Amino acid sequence: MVENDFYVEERDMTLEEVVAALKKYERKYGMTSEEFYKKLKKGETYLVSESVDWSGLLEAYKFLNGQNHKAHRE
Amino acid sequence: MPAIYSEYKKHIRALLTEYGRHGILPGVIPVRFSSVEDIPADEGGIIRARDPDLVFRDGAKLALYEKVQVVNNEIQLLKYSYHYERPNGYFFRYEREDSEELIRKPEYHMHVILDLPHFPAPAVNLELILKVIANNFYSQEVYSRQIVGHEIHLTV
Repeated sequence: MVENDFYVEERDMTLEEVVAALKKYERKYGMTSEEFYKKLKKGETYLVSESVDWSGLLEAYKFLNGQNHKAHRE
Repeated sequence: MPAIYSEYKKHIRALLTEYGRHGILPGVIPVRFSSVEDIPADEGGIIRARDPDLVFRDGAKLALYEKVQVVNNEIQLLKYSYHYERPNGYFFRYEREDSEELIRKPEYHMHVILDLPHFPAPAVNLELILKVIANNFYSQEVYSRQIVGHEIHLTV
């Protein structure tokens, strides 16, 4: 939809995008997503500004990776 | 229930379209979706706009994250994060996040300028956040002009 010089671009995230976003957080905070998840469960992510987004990406990763494996098996 | 989540996504699109039409959100307005394992795909999932963020006409950005699910025929925002940041670094962020610390990190909280502390905050949603941003930072009224352009130099 193009109207008045703006465009709402909607689509599903891809597994590659999610992995790239996770790697960006891992580089920024110097820890793996697994380490982040453990800290999150212990309530030790006070200084991770994007902890809500990071944990959401991990959920998206689990789903998309599962779909990917399912597709490869079929 | 599938219709409810689908309608909610349309609602998000309509909101962003409205701010696009008003010239507050020009250019590409990127919105991404993903399903998650614990919610059937047609009953909820993740709605996200971050890298790229939503970009306002003055270069300010809003990073958006919502995890939503239809519960009792209503959309529930299970988790959210709305991070608005101006080009000079001033930011606020409203979040709903799992937490067992009622005072230092309430489930519903907000940050202003710094990532700490987590101030208690009311439940919000994208519609309210966009109204707050538009009325405070993009209005032509005197009130808005008293906010935008101010510099602060502080040490906590």
